[in-house]
Amino acid sequence: MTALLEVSDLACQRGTRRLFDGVSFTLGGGEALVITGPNGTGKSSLLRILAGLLEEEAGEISHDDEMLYLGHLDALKPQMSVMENLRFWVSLFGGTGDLDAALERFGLGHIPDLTAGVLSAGQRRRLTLARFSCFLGGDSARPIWLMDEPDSALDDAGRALLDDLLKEHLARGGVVLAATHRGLGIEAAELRMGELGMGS
Amino acid sequence: MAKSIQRFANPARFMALSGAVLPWAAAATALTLSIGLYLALIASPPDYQQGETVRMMYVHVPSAWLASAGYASMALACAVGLIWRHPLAFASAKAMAPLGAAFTFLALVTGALWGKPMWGAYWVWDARLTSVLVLFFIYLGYIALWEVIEDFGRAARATSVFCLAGAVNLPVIRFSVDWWNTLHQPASVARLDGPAIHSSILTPLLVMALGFTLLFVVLTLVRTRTEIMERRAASLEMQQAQAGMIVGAHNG
Amino acid sequence: MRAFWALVARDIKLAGRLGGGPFVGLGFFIIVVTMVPFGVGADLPLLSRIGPGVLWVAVLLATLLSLDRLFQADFEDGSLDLFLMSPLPVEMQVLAKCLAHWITNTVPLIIAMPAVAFLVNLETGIMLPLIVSLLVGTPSLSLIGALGAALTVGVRRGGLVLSLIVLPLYVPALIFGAAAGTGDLMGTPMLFLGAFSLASLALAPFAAAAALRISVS
Repeated sequence: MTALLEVSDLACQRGTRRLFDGVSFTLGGGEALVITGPNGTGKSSLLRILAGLLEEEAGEISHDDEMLYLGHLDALKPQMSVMENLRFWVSLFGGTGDLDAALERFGLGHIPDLTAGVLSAGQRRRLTLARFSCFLGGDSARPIWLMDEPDSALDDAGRALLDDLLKEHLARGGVVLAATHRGLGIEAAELRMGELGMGS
Repeated sequence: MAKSIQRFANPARFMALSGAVLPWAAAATALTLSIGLYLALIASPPDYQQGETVRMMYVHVPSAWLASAGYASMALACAVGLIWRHPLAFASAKAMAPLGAAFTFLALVTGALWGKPMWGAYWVWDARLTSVLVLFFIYLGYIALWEVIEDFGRAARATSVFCLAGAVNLPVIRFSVDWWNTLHQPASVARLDGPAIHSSILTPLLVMALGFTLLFVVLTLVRTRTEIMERRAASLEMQQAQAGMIVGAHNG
Repeated sequence: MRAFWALVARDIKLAGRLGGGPFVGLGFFIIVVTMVPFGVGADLPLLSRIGPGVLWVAVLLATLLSLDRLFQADFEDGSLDLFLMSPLPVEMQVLAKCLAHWITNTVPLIIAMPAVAFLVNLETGIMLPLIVSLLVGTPSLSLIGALGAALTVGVRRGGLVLSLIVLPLYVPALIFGAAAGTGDLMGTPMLFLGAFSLASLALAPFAAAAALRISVS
């Protein structure tokens, strides 16, 4: 299988502090990598570097396909409705699919016109997952998913929906990189941060 | 791009070199300024129109020169920093800012003090002094931006973008203020930097300008060295804190 | 280009739904103008003479006040991260946001100008050049302000520092704008003002985009 994302000897420096170095891995279509480790070991920074939001101190990143990023925040506007929020991001990033069906899938089908400001944290995260569901599979506009603690704020039903979404994305040839504390219900390689001799 | 930092910037070499140069540069500065002050305050004649007030010029003109030259050097350092990611360039730009601002302030104060006897008011919105005032505000903005952004790397790059934006805008500001000045008042008759300068005035002026420039360079070197040492101290503290965390983790 | 207009539409929509919409900035503008006669006295000839300058300064301050939030809200809710990864170039995003900011904040002030002008006893003949000068000059305020907003996004007391770094850069716009507001429609100051706006249009988006990338890093 050809590599969709190749990372070699990546290092990250924050201020005067070296967060990590020598991080290398390769991911092909349908493969997932779970990033674990204690707080402050650079899980979020690694994802932000891959997303192009932070600059690496050393190392190489190569990928032909575009990435979709989920940070700690859901990037929702409280003044806009659930549907308006979803439609804006999906159209900006060139996603495809039925937006109503996407909302339905994550249990938001009955409230498309509610303002996002009144959503609970779990509902906000579900709306974000609905956004990701418009970029499913290796042929989508954004096949490489970078997710920073995608399971935060989700209840058991929500976590099951997340696992389903990730499985479908992988089955269709997408790539998932997720930082997580509790682990995800998918088959994935593990990258443990904050340990000596870190590698692939 | 950040990779090149280690290769190009060699703070250790800079520290050694600047440490060797500093005593000589400081001595040269002291000597030049002593000669300049003697020439300016004692040896040169008073002006036949302005009297002793003209001696203010020997401080004002070099200050005004350094206000502009200081900003130009800062902008150059910022450009070098942004293009080659040279931390030394950022550190020197940071070091120059308060110095440039101080000389700008000195130019404003001497200009105002000179203006009182010549124009009858401390501040008459003279075009040149007004431009210098706006330059002073830009210095303040640059310094304030350094103060409020905590991370060194981010602050260095953000302030550099602002410094360069200021450098692009400054000629336009200068032009607009000149134009505005002719719109609202007639050109001043008396100038602090008059058109025809006699050699008895020019020589002390040039010596003073050289002395001020040397002073600027010496102080910039000192401040850049301090900045580097502060960064090194912060880095050592951070390493200790990290080591402490690991030890703590093993004990616990 | 569709993404560009989608962003403009989104920001206009958001500005309209923010508490008070465009009326907060408009109210601020009118109050600032009202304060001037209290300060200098109800001297009608004097007010009429300083009127265009007062109106220009008030527009400038009202613009500055609203710039604080240009990128801050998107930074706080994580939208800015996504914007920087989006296929629309960041420079175009800055332009889109400036356009939306100008439409929602500055255009209402210009529309209100004929009414507000009575407060400073503005001569009727000056109204047209004043409005044209504002239309020509105020885009540069949004554009240069965007650079300041991008530099101070996510910064403690960002609004205060924003004023400190942006106001000196506004000097040419104010000088040419206030002069154009009293002069000929195609006079020298109007041409300088137009040139200044065009130069800001050409340069500010690149500087602001670079500043945004630095600010999220």
